[in-house]
Amino acid sequence: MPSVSSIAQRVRDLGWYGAFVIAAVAVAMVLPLVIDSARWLTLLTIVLIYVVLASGLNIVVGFTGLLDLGYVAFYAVGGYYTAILFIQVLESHFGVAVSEVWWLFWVNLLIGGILASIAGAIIGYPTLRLRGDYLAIMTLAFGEIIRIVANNWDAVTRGPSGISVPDPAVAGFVFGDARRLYWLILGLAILSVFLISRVIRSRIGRAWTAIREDEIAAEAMGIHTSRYKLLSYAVGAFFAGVMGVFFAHYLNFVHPSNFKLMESILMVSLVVLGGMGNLIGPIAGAVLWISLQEYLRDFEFIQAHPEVRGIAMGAVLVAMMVLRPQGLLGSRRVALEMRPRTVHQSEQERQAVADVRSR
Amino acid sequence: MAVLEVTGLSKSFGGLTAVNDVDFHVDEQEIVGLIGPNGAGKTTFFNVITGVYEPSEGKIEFLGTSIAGRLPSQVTKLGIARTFQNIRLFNDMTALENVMVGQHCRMKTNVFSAILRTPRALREEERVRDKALALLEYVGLKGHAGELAMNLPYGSQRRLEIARAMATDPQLLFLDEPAAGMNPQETEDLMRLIRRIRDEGMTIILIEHDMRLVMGISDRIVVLDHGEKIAEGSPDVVRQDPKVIEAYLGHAVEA
Repeated sequence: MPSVSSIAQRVRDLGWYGAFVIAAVAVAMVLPLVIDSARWLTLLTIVLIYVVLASGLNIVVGFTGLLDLGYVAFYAVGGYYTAILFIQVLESHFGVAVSEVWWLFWVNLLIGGILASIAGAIIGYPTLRLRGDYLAIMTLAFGEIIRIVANNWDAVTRGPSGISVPDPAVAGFVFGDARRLYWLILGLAILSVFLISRVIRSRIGRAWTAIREDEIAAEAMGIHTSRYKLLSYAVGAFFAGVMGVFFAHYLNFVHPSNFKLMESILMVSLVVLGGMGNLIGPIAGAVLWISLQEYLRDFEFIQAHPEVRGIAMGAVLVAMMVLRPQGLLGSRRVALEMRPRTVHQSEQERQAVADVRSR
Repeated sequence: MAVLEVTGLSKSFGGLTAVNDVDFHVDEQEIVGLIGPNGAGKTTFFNVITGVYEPSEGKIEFLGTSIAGRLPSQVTKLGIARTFQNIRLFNDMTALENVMVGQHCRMKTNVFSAILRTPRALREEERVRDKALALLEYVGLKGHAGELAMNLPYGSQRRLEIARAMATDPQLLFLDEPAAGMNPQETEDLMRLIRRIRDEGMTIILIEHDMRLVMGISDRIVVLDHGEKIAEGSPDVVRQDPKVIEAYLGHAVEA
């Protein structure tokens, strides 16, 4: 048992950042008890899906500095994998009742992620030598290829008819209503962000950041840059794959139009909006923008002119680039202050960080 | 024993031969200065040895192992570290993180142990942090650990690059114009630092234009001109060498 004083020390070590995270998680957990509207819970569920997508993409774009405009491909891989396995293979081909194999959804969360990782590494490999614009164009093309394959390979994906997918369940307990689904995605989102933060705050995250800052120097310092770029694609894609699996079962449907180029652009925008290269930025970006976007969806004016949302996003991003190019939370200073436990470990460092703050 | 043994090294880019048939060796704990007029091929020579370019011809042996054609990261892992002519720090990382990156190739934490924060991963992280702090202190950057590299003054950035290179635990250190842009006081401090690093067991090769620094510190000097080695020897010998004077100052006009 840890002593009282060591617990007190731990609480102190958490600092404002830790207290904020705990408070935010607590609020997010009790929210469904207060909100009794399926519409709002659905909105929050979508927000959380994008929180994970933006956080995963942030690994590639924000931390490693590789502009990826085809991230939606990995989302599609996860979604189609679980849909094809459940419906096309098990139900249609082998005649298995999908409610019998409820556990497969949970396994698929992991396998969908792993398949997306593999796809990430495969797509990443030929792009290793590319930088900037060329990389963006190539990833964009890969994203479109996956969607077009999904649209045309009727025998496997049922093309534009889409595939219906069952609700997630544990034995007889079905995650069918908005509240249960919200709790499920909240759990997945917390776990995902936690895993991402652990990797980022390690030797691996440091290596990624070093590659972003100066690839030649990173290689000269002993970082096998191609390997770490592939790892970045793979880890980033993993979370898109997991979300793809969740999304398919949440929406009960997969369709090629769910995985359009606009989705990739939206995900990159969320990362840019919130602030690249820090853990909180994409979360803030997703929460703010997706809530707004989904909320606006119900206004008559927006329903009559849906393009206004896209225009607004464009205008906001342009304004951001002019006024605050680093994103809402993109300053390194914020990142520095928000990492008390890793940065202050020793007395000397505590002093060093205090110096920075007092400037 | 020779730490680095280069034989017949050539590197050409298309029709341009940047390094031409150079033999070169460095012994343990030696400081070798590499000089030559602009465009003599010094940095290309560095880049070939550290794996940035593949040699067109020739052999490079480091402690008996051939390193020609290996990736820079592999060369670093084998024990050769370098700094850059135009500083290449990780600007948006703190001084401490810059040095910790240098330890990357001596660490073992992978994705899974990072996620689980295994005791081993935590111990390793702590060891690397302590070592990085010690290195910062060693190069005179104590108290600047939490500052962003880009916010450091120029002279400190140069020293941070040296600390980062030393963090890779090298046996051979390549310094590419470490005193470029430094004032005389900073250059003086740098000379002391380089000597101290050598005295503690490191072998050093440096490219330098500051003649006072390079003559004052090197045990041996190698002169390159148009990619070829034109002279080699102690600072005093090289200083007197007519070929070297010619390379720097041009022909004496026949009366």
